[in-house]
Amino acid sequence: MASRVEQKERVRAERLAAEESAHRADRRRAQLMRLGLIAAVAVIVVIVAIVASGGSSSSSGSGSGGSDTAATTALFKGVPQQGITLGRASAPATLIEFADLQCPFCGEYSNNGLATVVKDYVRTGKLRYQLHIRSFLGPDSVKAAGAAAAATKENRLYQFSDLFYRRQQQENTGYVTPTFLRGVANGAGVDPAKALAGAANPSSQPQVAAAEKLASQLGSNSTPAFYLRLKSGRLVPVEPKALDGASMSAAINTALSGS
Amino acid sequence: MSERSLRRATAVLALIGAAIAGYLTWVHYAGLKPFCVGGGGSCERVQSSKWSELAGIPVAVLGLGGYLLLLASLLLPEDTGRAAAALLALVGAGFSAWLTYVELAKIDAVCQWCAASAVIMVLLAIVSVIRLLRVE
Repeated sequence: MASRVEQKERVRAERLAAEESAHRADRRRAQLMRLGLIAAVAVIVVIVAIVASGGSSSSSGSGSGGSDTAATTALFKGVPQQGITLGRASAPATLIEFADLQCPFCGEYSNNGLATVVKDYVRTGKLRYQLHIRSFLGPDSVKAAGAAAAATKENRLYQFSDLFYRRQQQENTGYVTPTFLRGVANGAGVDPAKALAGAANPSSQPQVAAAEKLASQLGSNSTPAFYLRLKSGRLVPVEPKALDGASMSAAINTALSGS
Repeated sequence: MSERSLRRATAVLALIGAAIAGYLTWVHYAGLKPFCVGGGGSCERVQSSKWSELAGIPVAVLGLGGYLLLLASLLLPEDTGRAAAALLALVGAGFSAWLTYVELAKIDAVCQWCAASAVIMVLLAIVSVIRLLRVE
């Protein structure tokens, strides 16, 4: 039979064990609460970061993603492209555009009007398109034109310029970096190394100087500027009232009717 | 697993993660193509995508900062250090999961370096949570 002292010891040990167990349970509860709090803060931080990184939007932001690339690919899919020319060689007239990849109005036209022109005039064989990339807005324009010239050699000028416009940023902010150009080149199916080489040495690309020379010959001093070369060889200015598809179609029809 | 082992695991994983993020940071600023096992340009495509930057800061730089902060958390007093490590690792793992989703669903290319970093960040989150929940 246990002595009184032993009984007291046992009770004391049980009490201590119960206290220890309760203490551990309290600590566990506190730790779980702390984990919950930390996880909640982490979720908030991650959501903020996701929103800041562009979230799930498909906007034509600064970089490159899948959706704008897909839109560009779809726009020109199946349309013959050779150098700076888009469309069938048999088309009776040629729409000539002078553009600067940094020019926001050129971007506006490319994003809002070009698709209509390609769909209604180029795909149908009514017109073929010639795009002359100028480089007069600043150093970024020169780099962009050099890269576009490299894309032209791969017969991907239209994909390159369209994607560039979808990701266009504030002009002359130095955004035309190798990273930016690589992203556009990759999305457009252009060899990034060749695009970067073109951007690094635009003077090595005859197309860059040729665009400036032709613009000068035609007295074209702003972008975007459009001309229609008719079957007769006559050159007619195309002057849309706005840079959307409907305005562009109306201007083209007016120019064509003058033939 | 002892606290010492968990701290050691955190240090090793964070060092590997910092090396990967450091490499991607270097590649970014040097304007180089990241080395991609098997070629294909997937790493370059991901690294030049719009999701490669957050508020103008390359994600690789953020990753490097995160791994270095995780290492620094080991120097903090025990409770504070554990909480800081758990927060950093959970944020890192969550954002890495998002970036992996973006690679698969939007960019349609997987960067091996990013995937490796994501795995390391998830392991760090697991280790950090275990450390946080350990009852002494």
